[in-house]
Amino acid sequence: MSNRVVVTGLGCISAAGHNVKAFTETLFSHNDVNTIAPVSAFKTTNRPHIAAEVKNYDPALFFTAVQLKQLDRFAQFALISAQEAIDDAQITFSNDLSHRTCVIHGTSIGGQETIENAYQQLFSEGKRRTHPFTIPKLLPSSATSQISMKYGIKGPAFSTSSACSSSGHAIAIATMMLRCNMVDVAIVGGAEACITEGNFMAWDGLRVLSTDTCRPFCANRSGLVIGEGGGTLVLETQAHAQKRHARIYAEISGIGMSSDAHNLVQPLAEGAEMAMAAALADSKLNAAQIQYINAHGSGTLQNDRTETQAIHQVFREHAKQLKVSSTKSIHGHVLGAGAAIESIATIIAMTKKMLPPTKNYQKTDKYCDLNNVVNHPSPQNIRHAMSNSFAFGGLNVSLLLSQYNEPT
Amino acid sequence: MKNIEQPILKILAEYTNENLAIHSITLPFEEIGIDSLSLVEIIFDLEEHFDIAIPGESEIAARGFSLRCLADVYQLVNTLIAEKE
Repeated sequence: MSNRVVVTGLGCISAAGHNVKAFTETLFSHNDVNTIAPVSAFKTTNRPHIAAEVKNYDPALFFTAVQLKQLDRFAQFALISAQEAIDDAQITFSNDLSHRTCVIHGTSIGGQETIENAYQQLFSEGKRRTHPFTIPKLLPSSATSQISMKYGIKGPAFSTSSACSSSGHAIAIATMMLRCNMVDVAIVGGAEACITEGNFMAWDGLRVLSTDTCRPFCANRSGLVIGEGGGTLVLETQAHAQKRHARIYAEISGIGMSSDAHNLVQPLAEGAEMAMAAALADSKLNAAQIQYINAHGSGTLQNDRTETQAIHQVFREHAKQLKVSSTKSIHGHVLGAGAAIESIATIIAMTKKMLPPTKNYQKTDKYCDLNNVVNHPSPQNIRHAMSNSFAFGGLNVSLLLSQYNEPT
Repeated sequence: MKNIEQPILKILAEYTNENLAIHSITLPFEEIGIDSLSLVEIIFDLEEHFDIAIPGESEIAARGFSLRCLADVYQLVNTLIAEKE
């Protein structure tokens, strides 16, 4: 029999706040949260450009000047969220535990700021070479290495990269490693910091960026809003958590993964259905027991309608009972950190017995006919919830999170 | 000879929290918190600032220089600037 897997630590930084407490307040705000605003990281052209940037962020409050020389912005967000999660879990890594702990931290893009600064020097400023730590800083795995080095964690450590599902895959893989007793503790999550001029204009080239705000499942949606930040969770086997009397937030009750095998940008409902169905089958729960879905809900026409269709296919007559929202309308599309931050949002919803809304919602889309929680938080006791991540290239992850029950 | 000491001190100060002014210039780098990783960056910064090319470790040693302390850096940079001019 495989181990049960529980969540004992949470940490996040995003446009919705620099820590879990601030994030929680923003998630459940009844007012306009002002997390989405014109880009400040670079001068935009004549078109309006908006993003969900981490505002009022001062790296010097978290790192020394010497440390910052080796930390891309995405790795900074990874470390900040990891520190909060590890502090929150009140866990220290003894020599034995350090060998029984893994770090799996995902990112979609990696050290984009480092890449662009280096290219600026090479191609615009006539430099013949770049700073010696350009490569170590830009590696997508650098955030994982930084977490492992900071805490002396010596078990398996690697990064997952599957675009907007990266941290979802990190959580899923770590869950499997905990279940099969390969490790006792897992530091999992994702980080992203790609609101840089070059990357932003590339996204703009895809013609998917909103020019006003993010309003998923809404008839007058205008596209997605890129966000930045980091999210980390401490996962443990239930036995390990219980032995050290850890506070348990939730249980990872099911994981499902699939791929569309279809198109680099166009999603397929079948792939999303497979991931959700796989998570349900893995959990041994039935569809009618799921009360809330934190949707992928990117705010693009194709995603919103495909995801709605897939939810109908999987949940059938229960689909109309399900509460659904997309917190991307609050923290933006944080790409590789999205699944981690959204899993944290889902866990907070369970612990606070309150559902976060899809903000900025204006007008019903008849093709997105789910029971959306819109604009205002909605009180509800949630026993079981799902968090979806459906990435470009058809890489899908669905996670099932449940209130924790002591073994009987 | 140009005043190279101030710019060198400024570059090194970015890699250590120690006050370089109070230490002997012959104190080994590791004792003022500058590790080999930082030294790689410092070499890069020195090359950029003084427009010089600092040779590899073996060539430095073959020429009778080293990069173990601030005094070594002063000597090597001075020599390389003089050669360039």
